[in-house]
Amino acid sequence: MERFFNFITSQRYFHLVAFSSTPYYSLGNFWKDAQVNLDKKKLPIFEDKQFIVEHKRIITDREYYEGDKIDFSVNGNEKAPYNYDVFGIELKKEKIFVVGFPFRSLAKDIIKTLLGSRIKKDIKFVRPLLAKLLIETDGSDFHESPYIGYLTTLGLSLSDDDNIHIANLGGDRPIQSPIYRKVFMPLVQKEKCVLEKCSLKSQILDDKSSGYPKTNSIMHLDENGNFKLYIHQTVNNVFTVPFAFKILRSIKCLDFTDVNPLIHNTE
Amino acid sequence: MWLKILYEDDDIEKWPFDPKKITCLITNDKVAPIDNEKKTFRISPIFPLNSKTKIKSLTNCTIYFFNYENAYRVLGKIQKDGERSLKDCVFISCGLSSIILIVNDRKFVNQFRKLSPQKEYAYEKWVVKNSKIQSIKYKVENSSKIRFEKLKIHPYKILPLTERAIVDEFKATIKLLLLKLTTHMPFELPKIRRLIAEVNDLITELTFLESLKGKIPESLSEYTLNDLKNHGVNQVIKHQNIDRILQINSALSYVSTQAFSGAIPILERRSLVRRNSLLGIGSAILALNNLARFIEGSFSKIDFSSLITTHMKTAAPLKGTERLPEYNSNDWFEGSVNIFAHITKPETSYFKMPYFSGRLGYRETEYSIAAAIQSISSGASLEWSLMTLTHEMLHGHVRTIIASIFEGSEKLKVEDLRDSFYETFKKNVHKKETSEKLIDSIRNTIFTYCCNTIAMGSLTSKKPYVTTKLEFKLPKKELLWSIFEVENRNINEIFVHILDLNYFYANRISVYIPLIWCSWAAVPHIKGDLRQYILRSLLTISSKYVGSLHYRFNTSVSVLKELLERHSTGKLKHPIIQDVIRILGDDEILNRYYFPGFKASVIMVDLAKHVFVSSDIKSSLFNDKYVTWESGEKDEYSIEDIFKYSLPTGFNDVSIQSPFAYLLDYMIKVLYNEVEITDLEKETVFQFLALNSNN
Repeated sequence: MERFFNFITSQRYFHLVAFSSTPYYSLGNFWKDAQVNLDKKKLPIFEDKQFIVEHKRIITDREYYEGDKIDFSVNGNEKAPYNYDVFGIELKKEKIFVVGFPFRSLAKDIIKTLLGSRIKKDIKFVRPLLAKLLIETDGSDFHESPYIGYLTTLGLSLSDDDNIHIANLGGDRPIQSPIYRKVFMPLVQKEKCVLEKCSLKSQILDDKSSGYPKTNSIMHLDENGNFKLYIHQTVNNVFTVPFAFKILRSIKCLDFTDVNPLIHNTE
Repeated sequence: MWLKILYEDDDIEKWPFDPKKITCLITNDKVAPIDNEKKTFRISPIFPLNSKTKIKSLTNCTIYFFNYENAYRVLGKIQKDGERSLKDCVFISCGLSSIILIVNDRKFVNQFRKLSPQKEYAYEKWVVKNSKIQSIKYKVENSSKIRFEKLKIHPYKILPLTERAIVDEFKATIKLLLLKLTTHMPFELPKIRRLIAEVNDLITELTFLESLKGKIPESLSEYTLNDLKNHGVNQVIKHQNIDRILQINSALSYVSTQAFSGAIPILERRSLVRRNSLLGIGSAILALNNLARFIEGSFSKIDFSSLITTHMKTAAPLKGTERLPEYNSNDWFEGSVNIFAHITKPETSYFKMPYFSGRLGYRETEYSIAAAIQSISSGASLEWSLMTLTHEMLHGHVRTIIASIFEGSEKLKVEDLRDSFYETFKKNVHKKETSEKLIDSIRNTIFTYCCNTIAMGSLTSKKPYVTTKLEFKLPKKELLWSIFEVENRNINEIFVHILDLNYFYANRISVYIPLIWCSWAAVPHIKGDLRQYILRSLLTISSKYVGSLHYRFNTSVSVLKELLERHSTGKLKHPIIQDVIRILGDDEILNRYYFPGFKASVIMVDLAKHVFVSSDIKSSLFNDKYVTWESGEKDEYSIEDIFKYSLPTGFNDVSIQSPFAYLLDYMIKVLYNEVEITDLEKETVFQFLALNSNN
């Protein structure tokens, strides 16, 4: 399988932060403003008319991994300094940036620095409008060749029932399920039931002309703007991320806010 | 490994034979051990429980043949708790005597029986000295406990000789079968009772049609006496009935010989499947029967015929079908069988008789279900898996659905009924006010499909794509009905694929598509009709995607291509798959010859998926504590959640409640090389025993 990036640590969940900034902002500016010490080695960058996807490696003395199975140390001696793979995505037309971190605490530290920098006032965090997404799409797939996506697991919060407050509907296509359509959909339409979190299943299908790898992913998102993605060994599924944001933007299901999503507890 | 017996050359024609003149052998040949000596023989492949067991001869030993209701469980217990020396004595076969013990010391039999979680219902013991059988003892437990079923066949003396002989044959076969069933498969007696009742109805009709005296049988109540006196009508019904009894006789002779040859007492009946002539294929036929019975049981939860002809006749029409051929299936769930399932009574199970056939392969008929004979030795392979049975059995189920949709009032003659259905559809097409009911809207979607096929083709009819927008035209009544008759098979096929995917493959296209192509690739005629099989696949995949026709088509093409490519160097390494991949990469061919047929047929996909998939049946088929689902997000290739049957491989001291869940999981493991099959035939026998473990 063709692959673009080689992560030291793939096959784990990455925490994604999405934001927009001034028209002239770039990923290069972001790394500077976040004041991260990046590995000097030249790591691959994918760029086409729509997106930039780049792999970076942060070198820091702070240890973010508490387990003992993986050695993140630069020198292979389990001691500082440590290096962590991150990725940055720029949606050129939409001016949306998405940065992925292997640890939520690392994301928190970097975003904290960013918010203390010169561009603080220009930063707007991106969060999905889940209620709108659910009602307006009504279970239809999102697609823009070679990408297709659809909602999978739904985390619903019920306001009119004293006995059930949360309903998690897991499965491939809960919106297509007669149970959802009979029981939950009328409540959603009456705003007695709200989508608080969900998963977006994405696929990039085979397309010779696009240059994107065939891949798939499930991105978990909540209404605060926390995004989580399991990165496969080949890392190819990062390519589903820009498409997902592009589609969400095109159907007007993204909101822009000053509130840092990482202040919310996602667990 | 083969267990073989050889009769003395001068004993070939003698009966009863003297067991002491029978030589008992074990061989390790790869092919059946048949030589040129003037001696008759019986052979069966057997397999050591412990793969490392080596046995060179049977000079002096005792052989025990055990019949268990759940041999899988017994072997699971032995595997888990038995000592190595005991395991070395245990062998398995696909006969009814599925567990064989070859011992030199009685202590192993005692150990074996002590560990067994259940008692055998029959056993046979051969004492072998100097390779000759010295004595044979056997015991069948059930025979004295279960009351023998009395055979009651309606009088048929007045029938002419030809017809009488056919009924005689039925009576004789069923009598012999009852004797054996009472002993070896008492759980099958209800099926036979239903079969006898069915044949008695046919006999009653035949005798009435012969005499034309007395009260008209209930089953012929749609006819008047004058109708039945009409020679033409009279002969047609007679022929139909005789044909049915002939079909039943034929199936019974297969079932009877395949199920009970090699049953204890083993030497009494030689199996007609010569490769298994010693111990027969009883466990294989039981597995086949068990699968068929499980399907029948699950499908009998809902009486589809009554649901369609009564409840769907009065319910509101499918939303989104008011402006056919345009439609929106989003809310079709409101007219689905699931809405009415709780108000219908369960249906009486079918009673199809399953058997293996070398000629028919996998085929379903009114009274029987045939599986390919290759499955006896290679059923654990993807090409010859018993899972193929599901597709065949669904054809009967779908026939019932479609026949019920087109069943009208008994008061109306066929022509009037056709007029009435046509007029209802015509009003819809011309957007006139109608008082359509659910069943009318369902029928109208089928008619819409038929109209679509005129310009766009179907699975079997190729119409090239034209760029100009095709105007939907309502054909004349006669033409529409003749299209329906021609397309009925394609409608049935599309329904079967959608139901098969949903019911038996847990709606996993990533599994269904490669597995179904594995079974297709093994059949030679597919190559001559590739377009149909590609279209079937595309339509099935499209049931998983929601959006415009072009989107569903393009996505289905991409997904099909990706799935076939992924397995094309593994289990789908076959020239035909390369041909399919080539076609799927050719946009011009796809748009010209595939898109039109796809476009015409998608409405049938949506109808089957949204209206006729029953959640009750689904849950019944997969109701098993070992069924688990995992998110596919960690799998690089997964496009769906991952289905698993979380039972350890090997024999287990448990009962498998859902044979399909077990089988599906097994096939997924084979597909993804998660199990290594070193001995396919042993694995197949192993699978038969596992599939029988819910008895």
